[in-house]
Amino acid sequence: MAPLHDIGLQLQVLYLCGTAAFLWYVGWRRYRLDLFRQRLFALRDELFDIAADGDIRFNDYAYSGLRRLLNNTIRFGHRVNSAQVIAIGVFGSDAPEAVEQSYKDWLRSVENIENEQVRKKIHSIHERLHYEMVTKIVLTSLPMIVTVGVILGCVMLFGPLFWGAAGVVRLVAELGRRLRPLMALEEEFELAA
Amino acid sequence: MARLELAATVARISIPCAAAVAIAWLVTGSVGKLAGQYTYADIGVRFVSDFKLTISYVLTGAAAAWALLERKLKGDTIKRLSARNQELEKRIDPDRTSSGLSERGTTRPGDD
Repeated sequence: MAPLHDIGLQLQVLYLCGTAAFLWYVGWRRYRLDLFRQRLFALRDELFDIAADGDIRFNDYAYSGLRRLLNNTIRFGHRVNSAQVIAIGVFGSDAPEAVEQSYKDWLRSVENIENEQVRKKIHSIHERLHYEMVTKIVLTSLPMIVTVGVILGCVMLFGPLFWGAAGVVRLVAELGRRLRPLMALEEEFELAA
Repeated sequence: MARLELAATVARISIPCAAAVAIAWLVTGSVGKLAGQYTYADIGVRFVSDFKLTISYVLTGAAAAWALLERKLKGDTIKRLSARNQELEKRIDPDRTSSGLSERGTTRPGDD
């Protein structure tokens, strides 16, 4: 006959697992999705203000292209996750060349803006969009949190010994530039919209 | 998109589903072993017998309910304020485009 004490313990462990799952899936992940969308709405408002101030026209592709990208990413924010990034890494992106071309066109239209400050602001919004995507992907996946935490900890602890402080900064900057999976995600959203 | 979407959905859903199946299997095994030994009342009493644990169950449940109510309130507020914001922005930019979320700021049905 199983001791009643063990059964009580099993039920408590079960309750603990249920609570942890609830906090993770219903609490934390949905909160991160809402926060992600809220920050993207703030970026979209910032972009809107640039155009409302007359620094750029509303029908300029530098504006409309970035706004469409922000809208698509807000709409499909629930798909900005590690599973999508891994799927793109394994299967590659299905996005046709036309979508990739639209990104090049957008870059060209930003370069055509005469005011350098406005150009910088537009690029800054685009970069912060990528930063938010990375944050969302990492912080909504337990394996990612552990992996990135360990890697960052090692780089911060031992990096300066091997590459010097400047080398670590260069490495992080290089990682930031290699955001190809994120670009592929953007293309997928463009295609789905 | 369909291939990627399918792969990502399978990866995203399979882990919690596997965990749920494992838990169900463990519970079924435990209950099977208990057949004829204890009543549900025995087990229930054991589960809540520790006063400190009972208090923690109640507080956890209350905190979860509070969080869900807060979320509902936030959705109601978004619904109330977003239409006004849209209207004001449309006065400046008549071709204003939308994110396509639901009026409560949640994922639109069909985009899941």
